[in-house]
Amino acid sequence: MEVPPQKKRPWFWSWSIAAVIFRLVLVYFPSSLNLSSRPEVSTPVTSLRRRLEVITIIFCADFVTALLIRATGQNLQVAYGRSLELLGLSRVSENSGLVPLAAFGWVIASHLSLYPAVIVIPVVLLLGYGPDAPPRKYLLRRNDANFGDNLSSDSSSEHRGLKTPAVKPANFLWRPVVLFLSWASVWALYVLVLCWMSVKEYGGLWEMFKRTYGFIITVQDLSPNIDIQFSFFLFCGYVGVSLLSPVMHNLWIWRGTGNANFYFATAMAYACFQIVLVVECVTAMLNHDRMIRTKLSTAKA
Amino acid sequence: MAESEEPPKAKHRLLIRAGILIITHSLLVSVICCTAGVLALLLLPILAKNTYISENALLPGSARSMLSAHEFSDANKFVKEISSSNVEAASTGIETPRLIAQHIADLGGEVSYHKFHPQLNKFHPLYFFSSPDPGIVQVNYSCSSYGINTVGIIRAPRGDGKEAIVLVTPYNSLNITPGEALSLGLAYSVFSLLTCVSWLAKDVIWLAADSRHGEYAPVAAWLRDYHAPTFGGSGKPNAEICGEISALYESNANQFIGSEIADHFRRAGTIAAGLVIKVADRSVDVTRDTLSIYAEASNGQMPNLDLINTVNYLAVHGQGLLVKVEKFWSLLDSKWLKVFGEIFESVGKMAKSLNPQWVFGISAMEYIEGTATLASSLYNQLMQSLWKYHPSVIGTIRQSKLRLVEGVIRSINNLLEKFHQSFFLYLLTSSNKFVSVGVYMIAFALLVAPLPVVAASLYSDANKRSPTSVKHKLSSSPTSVDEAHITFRSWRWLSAAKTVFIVQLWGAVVTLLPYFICQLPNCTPTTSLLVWVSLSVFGLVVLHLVLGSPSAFVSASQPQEKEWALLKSVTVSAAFIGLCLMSVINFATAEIGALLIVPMCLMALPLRLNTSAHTFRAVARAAFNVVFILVGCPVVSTTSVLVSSGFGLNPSGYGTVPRTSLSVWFTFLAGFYVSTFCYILVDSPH
Repeated sequence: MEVPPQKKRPWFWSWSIAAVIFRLVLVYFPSSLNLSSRPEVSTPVTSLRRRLEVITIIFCADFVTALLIRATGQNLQVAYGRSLELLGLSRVSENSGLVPLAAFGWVIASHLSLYPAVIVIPVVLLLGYGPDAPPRKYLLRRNDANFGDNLSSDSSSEHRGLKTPAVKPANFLWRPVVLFLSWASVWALYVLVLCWMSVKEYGGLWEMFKRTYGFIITVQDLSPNIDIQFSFFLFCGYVGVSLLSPVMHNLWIWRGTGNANFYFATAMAYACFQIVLVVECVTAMLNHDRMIRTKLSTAKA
Repeated sequence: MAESEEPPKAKHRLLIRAGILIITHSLLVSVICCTAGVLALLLLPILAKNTYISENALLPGSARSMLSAHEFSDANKFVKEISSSNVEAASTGIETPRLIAQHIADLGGEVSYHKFHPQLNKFHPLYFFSSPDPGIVQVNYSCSSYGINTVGIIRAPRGDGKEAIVLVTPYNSLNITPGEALSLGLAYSVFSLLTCVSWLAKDVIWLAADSRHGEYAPVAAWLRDYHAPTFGGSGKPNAEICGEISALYESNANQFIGSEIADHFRRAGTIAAGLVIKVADRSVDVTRDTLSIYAEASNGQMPNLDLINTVNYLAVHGQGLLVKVEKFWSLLDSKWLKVFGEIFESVGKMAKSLNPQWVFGISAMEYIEGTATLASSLYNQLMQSLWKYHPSVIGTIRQSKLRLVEGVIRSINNLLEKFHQSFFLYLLTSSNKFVSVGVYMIAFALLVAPLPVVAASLYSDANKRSPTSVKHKLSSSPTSVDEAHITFRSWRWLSAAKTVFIVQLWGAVVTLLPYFICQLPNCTPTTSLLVWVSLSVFGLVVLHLVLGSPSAFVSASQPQEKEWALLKSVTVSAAFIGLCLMSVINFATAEIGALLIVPMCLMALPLRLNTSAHTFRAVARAAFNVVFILVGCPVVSTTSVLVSSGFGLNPSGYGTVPRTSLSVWFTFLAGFYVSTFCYILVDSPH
């Protein structure tokens, strides 16, 4: 499990530089690639309407999200190595400074785009509990084996399984979580101070909050980019079917008045809505293509 | 650009044309559907079918009774003993359990005590998705708040012990009434018969439930412990702090040689059916013995109809008893119900005169009784009272009653599987007539059918205007500070959806607040109510602040009527989805909720938009809105007071306690009231 640190670093930096270059290409050569007209690629996050948002979004949001994921992954690796150590398998080197990096990444990413904000829940759980792998039962079994040697003379066998092992990997540690939250608030304050300085002449921070809910990206950019005809009907259908699933669960498991057929029916209803959604999306894209083609033909003519 | 190039509309398919036709005449359709729904609800007693035994294995009444005078006299002796012991001893509450245990042990059954503490009603919002946690350990209970159930078990000689039948006789161990003593005697005689029959294939459990803290608590506690085994030493008697119980255990251990009273919880397999027997105290002078059946539901789950059919069949045809089902007595005198009954009777007679085969009319009296029973059935399903329990015997112990109970147990004994054949979803209109789910769902569907129609028509109206205003905004300078308008026409409902979602969330929070408020120490009812009201109002203020600012921007790009139409459309769709889901969970809640919500949803209109037109219709509509809100809000608030008072302030748990389903309905109703309230009276352009 040991990876020499020197070999790891150049590999990481080369990939990160490649990622930055790729994003620069996307930013500065849009016309040659003609990406903005493709509805599959041109999402609100990568829409090229405004330069400033281009730079901030494509660079920072994606990049720091990647940093965050990497930091979480490294934390996972460290903890994995630690639990392997408990199993007596190997030794791993220490790694510190990951929690502040994770906090920074999360703050920047969620400040620019709404999506990474939900990552906080699994991050908190990961920081608190440690990772799932390897499963806890291996640890318990190994510790029981240890205890078995020690307590061979103990006649009360039913207590053996109940004795807690010396190391408790299943407890929720608050310290890394508190550390993460404090670092996140530090970075958030820093970003807010920067924002305050930049929007001072537009009415101050409060104005920014009122209009953007604290995000730099406007609500407008969060709205979908395709014109689907039955969007409202589909939305209601999806909401209804998703809420139907726990109802059927309750009916089947806890009441006994339902059976698996109810689940099948829910799945079929869901599939019907999916079909309508796909058909509508394809129609919208075809209409879009047709419109561009007619515009080009009228421009040429 | 877009309007001039619109291609000629192709002719739609028939289904779409029908849909468009319905949407354009949405007002007519909604009026027709609503009245049809209410009418169908009133027609339900006429549409009721006769009950029938669905499970062939039950074969009620096909076996000869094995009861003899010996059991009858034993029962009377037992009743006398209980009555006398209750009179003599200072009521510590352990005399009767001891007596019952002694008799059960004499008969050869296994006996054990079940000590329980009446739990406060543990409502948790997530109980809908999982069963309540059985491992809740109650601490700091005083010795006065306990009860002792006596449990006697007969193991079937030919059975495999996988299923059991439960007989429950509640009695107040501190003060036994004559009726309770009679019910104990009845159960004792049946128990003594069952110890020596050869046909028993299921175990029989007799639970003499100590109802000093309410009728619900002992059975609920016993069922909870029955279905939630705990391992590892919790059954061992702890150092009993309460002196009486330890005295009970010790004395029993000394008295009985060879058969010890078990001090751990005894079980007997899954419960196939349960009967609760209560003998009424009132000495009403009746010429015939009557049997009242209480088919009650918990959270919308009714007992299997076959069980009720068996009891009814045996009572009427076997023993000649008069069977009654619980009904709303007050409805029997209502005049309008009489009018309806007579109208339906005359229509039925007319139809019969036209064609003798069209026999669907019933007499006015039957109709009135059927409606009263139906209303009571709906109400019980709504209030989710108690547990599923069945016959109750009125009168003195007669051999007919003993034979009835024996016959019912014998029929259930024949079953190979649990009750699964007959209906679980039904409404009783009398003891031998029922309305099944396929019929009453139609009434409900008719009632809620206007909702999607109105939502679709409002949505299409809101989107009908050409997007010239939208285009204008696009061409304006992009550096203008962010306006929260949506560029595409098909996504304009997003802001309305967000508003509705936030208001619903507020409604949910407000409904769940009582649970958390009651966790506060030392909360009296008035303080908790004040805290709840103030927190709700605070939430409302926060809501208005959050939602108030974006509406200024949206109203700049689209007129206020469009915004209101979209908002109402989204709200009505959410109401429709919610009502449909609720009907699956608990029909009664959904039906009564629909009767309240559908008119409100259809008629709601902001007062500001209404006051411009001074027609009679506009004024009437405005008045209706105001009345509905003013009447509805007190209803909502009183129901919430009841709900919150039921949560932690009624420890005896006596009577009906609203649980999960009612609270879900309530969240719903609160959310709708607020969304309508806010935007009727408070909506104002900045």
